Amino acid sequence: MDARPLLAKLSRLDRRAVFAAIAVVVVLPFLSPFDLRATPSEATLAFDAALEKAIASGRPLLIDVDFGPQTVAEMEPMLLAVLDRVFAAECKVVFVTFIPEASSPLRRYLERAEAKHGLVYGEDYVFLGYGSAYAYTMYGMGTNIGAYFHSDDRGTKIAELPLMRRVKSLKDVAAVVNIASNSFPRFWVQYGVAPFGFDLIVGATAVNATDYYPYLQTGQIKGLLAGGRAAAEYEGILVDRGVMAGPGDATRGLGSQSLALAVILAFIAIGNAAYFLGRRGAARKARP
Amino acid sequence: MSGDPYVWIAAMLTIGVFSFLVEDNPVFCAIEHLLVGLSTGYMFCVYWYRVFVPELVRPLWESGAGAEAHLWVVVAICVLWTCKYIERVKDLAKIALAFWLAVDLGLAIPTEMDAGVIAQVLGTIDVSFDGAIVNVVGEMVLLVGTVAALTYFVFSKPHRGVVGATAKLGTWVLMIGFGASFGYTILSRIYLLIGRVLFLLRDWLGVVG
Repeated sequence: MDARPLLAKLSRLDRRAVFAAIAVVVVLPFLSPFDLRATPSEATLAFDAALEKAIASGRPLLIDVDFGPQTVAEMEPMLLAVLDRVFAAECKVVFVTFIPEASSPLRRYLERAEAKHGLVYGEDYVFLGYGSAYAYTMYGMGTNIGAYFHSDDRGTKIAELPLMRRVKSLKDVAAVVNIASNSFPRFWVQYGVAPFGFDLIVGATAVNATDYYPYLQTGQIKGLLAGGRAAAEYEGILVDRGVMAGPGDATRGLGSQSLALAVILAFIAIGNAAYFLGRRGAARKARP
Repeated sequence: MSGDPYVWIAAMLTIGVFSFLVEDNPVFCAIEHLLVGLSTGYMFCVYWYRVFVPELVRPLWESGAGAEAHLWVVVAICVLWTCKYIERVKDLAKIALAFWLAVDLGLAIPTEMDAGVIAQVLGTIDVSFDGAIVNVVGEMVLLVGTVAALTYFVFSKPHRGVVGATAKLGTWVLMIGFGASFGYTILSRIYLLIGRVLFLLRDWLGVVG
């Protein structure tokens, strides 16, 4: 049977049919039992090991959250898993953000964490708020945080916060964790790790992840969660360890992601097959 | 189904944005403008209340020519920037530009040399032959691939002979790199779609627990 007419028809498929197919395979796994688990990659294991090492040191952490509403789906599960881990270990944390649109969602996450883990603001955690001029602020925090943040997000003077009496500069934190959907991990490497040499642990969108693997290879980044799949891998680690009661949204999205990728691959294969067979047919016709 | 009006607004806006997939329409355009307007307004408020007022206006108002007097330099630079809109004094804006460039480059060049150039070059040429064979092969691929990709960008010599062959290999390395990057981009975009679908099914319709 000659498959070429069918492939030719498929190559002219309305793009809306492709969208509809993707929509169906993304929705279906949520409506039917579709339990998948992700095996942790080396980068995810490195992230876990680096975070555990920082927690074990007993020193506070600095967590820089740099994602806005547009990447919540990918970044939120990552941040929630990290919050569960650090607060379950009673680790003290200083939060900061360098993008304006991250302040409001971060306040909401921290309110929920405060209720869940029984945290005391100012003692267990502090949110410094939005820091402008990221390059200068990152660099300046290496020597004096108080010079760049006179007050926290609630307007309290830095000197009045008990936790900030322990954290004068980045030398006082066990590690900087950057959960970011932009290029800020790179800037942390440049303006933080290079001059001050602290441990940097990164959670990034899959889009940005390829930019950070070279830094992971050189040890400038100690661990990397690369996108939603890596968030699912980390959720799995925390569930196995009993830190999280059950898998989060990243794990729930694995079924949809797998099916959607399979459909995309199928469309790519069909499109290419139709293109090459069509080209061969045209070449045959052109021959005298 | 949710009884929260904000969830309903978010759901309607989400569906409105998805309507673009069928074809461009006025609802999508309206939502697009709403998003741009809201984002700009929100960011203006953050800059105003988190930076401009507490870091510049209030300290100057409270201390005047006292402890925070150095902030008058910042005010002067701000004023110089605005000079570019006045034809007669527009060249004064170059002083502010020069100051900004000098500070920025002074900070960026040494740190980038350290973090982006030296550390990366050392990481690339760090081939040790005493590890597992897989690691040695991986390190060799990295070294050869980097040299080949860099050779592609050498335009001062014609791409013939050894240089041409290396540059050809470099294009393959670049294509594989772009492919990996594109693959990750698809992963990211699918997760964004999953997030919206989960919001509609769980937070709005309540059909998923």
